Amino acid sequence: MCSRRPLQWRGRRDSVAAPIERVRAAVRSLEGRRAVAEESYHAVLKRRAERGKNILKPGFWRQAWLVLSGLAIALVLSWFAARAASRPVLPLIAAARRTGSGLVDQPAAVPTDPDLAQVAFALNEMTALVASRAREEGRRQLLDRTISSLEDERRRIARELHDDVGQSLSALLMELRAQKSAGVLASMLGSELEVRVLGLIDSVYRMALDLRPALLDDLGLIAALGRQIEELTARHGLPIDFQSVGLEREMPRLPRGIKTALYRVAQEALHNIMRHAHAQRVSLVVIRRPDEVVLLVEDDGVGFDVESIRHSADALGVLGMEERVTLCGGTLTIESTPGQGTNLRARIPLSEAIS
Amino acid sequence: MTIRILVADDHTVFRSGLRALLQREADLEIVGEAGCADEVLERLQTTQSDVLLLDLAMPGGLSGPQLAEAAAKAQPAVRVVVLTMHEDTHYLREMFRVGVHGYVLKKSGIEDVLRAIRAAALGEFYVDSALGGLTVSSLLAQPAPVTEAPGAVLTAREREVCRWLALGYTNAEVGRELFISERTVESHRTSIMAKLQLPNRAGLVRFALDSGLIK
Repeated sequence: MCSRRPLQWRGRRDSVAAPIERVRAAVRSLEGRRAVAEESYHAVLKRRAERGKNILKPGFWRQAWLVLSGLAIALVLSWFAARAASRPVLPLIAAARRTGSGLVDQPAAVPTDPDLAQVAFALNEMTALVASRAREEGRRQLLDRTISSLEDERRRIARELHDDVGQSLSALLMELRAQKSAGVLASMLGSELEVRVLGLIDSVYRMALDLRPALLDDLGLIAALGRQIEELTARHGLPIDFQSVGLEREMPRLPRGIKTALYRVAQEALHNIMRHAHAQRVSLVVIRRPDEVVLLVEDDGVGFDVESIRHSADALGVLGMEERVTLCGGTLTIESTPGQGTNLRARIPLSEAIS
Repeated sequence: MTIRILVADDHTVFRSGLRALLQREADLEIVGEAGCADEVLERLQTTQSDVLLLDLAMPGGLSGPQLAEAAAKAQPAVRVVVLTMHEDTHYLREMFRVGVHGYVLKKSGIEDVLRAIRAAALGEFYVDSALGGLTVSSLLAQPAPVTEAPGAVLTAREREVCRWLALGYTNAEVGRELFISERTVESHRTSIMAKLQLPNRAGLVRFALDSGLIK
């Protein structure tokens, strides 16, 4: 825009007056147009400002809606993302649940994610452990049943031998003697038959005793052990020093399972000593305390290496003793040093109900 | 005066054989027979008898020793003579403990039965002649009590160690209980054994019992 300073000429005024006037008119016209332009400009500005006032409200709601839906989308997306992230964990959770409910035959599949793979490995290790525990428990129960049915069978056969066969033979002997004394049976033949029947009675009695002494059931552990010791001492000439505490007359009675286990362990231990120990003296102690029974078998024999015996032919004997005690909830320890004798100890807890 | 006898055995053959042998004796009379535990206890109440000849392996709920005890207690005036296959001093001791008067093996001759009946009728006790040896050796096998000799008295600590050992604890366990080392326990143990001249743990336990260290 040019300067609005009026153009002025001195001297030749009349000659330049007309063009000046034209210029002034032009300027005026320009100024008028400028004012119009300015006016319209302001009008536009004003209109704009008014329009701005009018669109403020709908703009706010739109923005709020945008934000909210953005949030919702984010939520949904993150839910999908979380789901996608947890999807590989789901089989592991299922596997853990299976293990928890005792189904241990299906290990969890190992996912590709290395961290999850670690979890799967740990889980499968745990499942394997649970499985082996379950197998162990099953094996234990089977063994328990096997041993108790073995003892039941022995008791039954021993009793039948003693009460049935033995008694019948005694009756036969009585009959023979009656016939003989009545003169019905020739004296020579009678005596010969008598000797034979006596021999039979003895062997039947011994068979029953070896299977399972009736003493153990009739009179208890101490009587049965006492008898066992008398037999062994008579057969091997080795003195066995026997002392019991708190079990005289065995009142109240020890449970049959515990009594049998201790009897068999002592029997095995004493037989081992007779066979291998070359001992001078043997000590057998049974102690009943309110909460447990303890059996101690100690000898002054040659001893042995406890670890190596587990890999030898005698391992079964040791294992058998261990199993019997373990099945009663007890512990068996054998301490031996070559040249310094052997100490065996079996401890079996007595439950409240029993003692 | 005749001795009235009740015969209890579940084998009729045995009873008839016994009857045949006893009938030959002028002073004996069989007044009743029983074939099971219940019958024995019933006949004891209903029959006037002096001696009960009792088999130890009778059918019924009671074991031999239980039946013998029940019979001996039911009629104290009736003396019980046990006839058994058990060639064993533990049964023998238990039988006399519950109150029988005679213990005779079934395989023994009738002479033993007769002697037992006559002794029992007089209120005396009779042990089968075949069991005399066993009875004597079982008496001899009873160990003599262990006591402290003068000059071989245990110290208080040794007494303590002795008590734990007699309860079945190992050296290590006794050490833990008494806050001393296993080695110290071992030396106490050696000292106890030497002072009391004990050969082994059984002897030690016996001393602890005899001297009241344990009950």
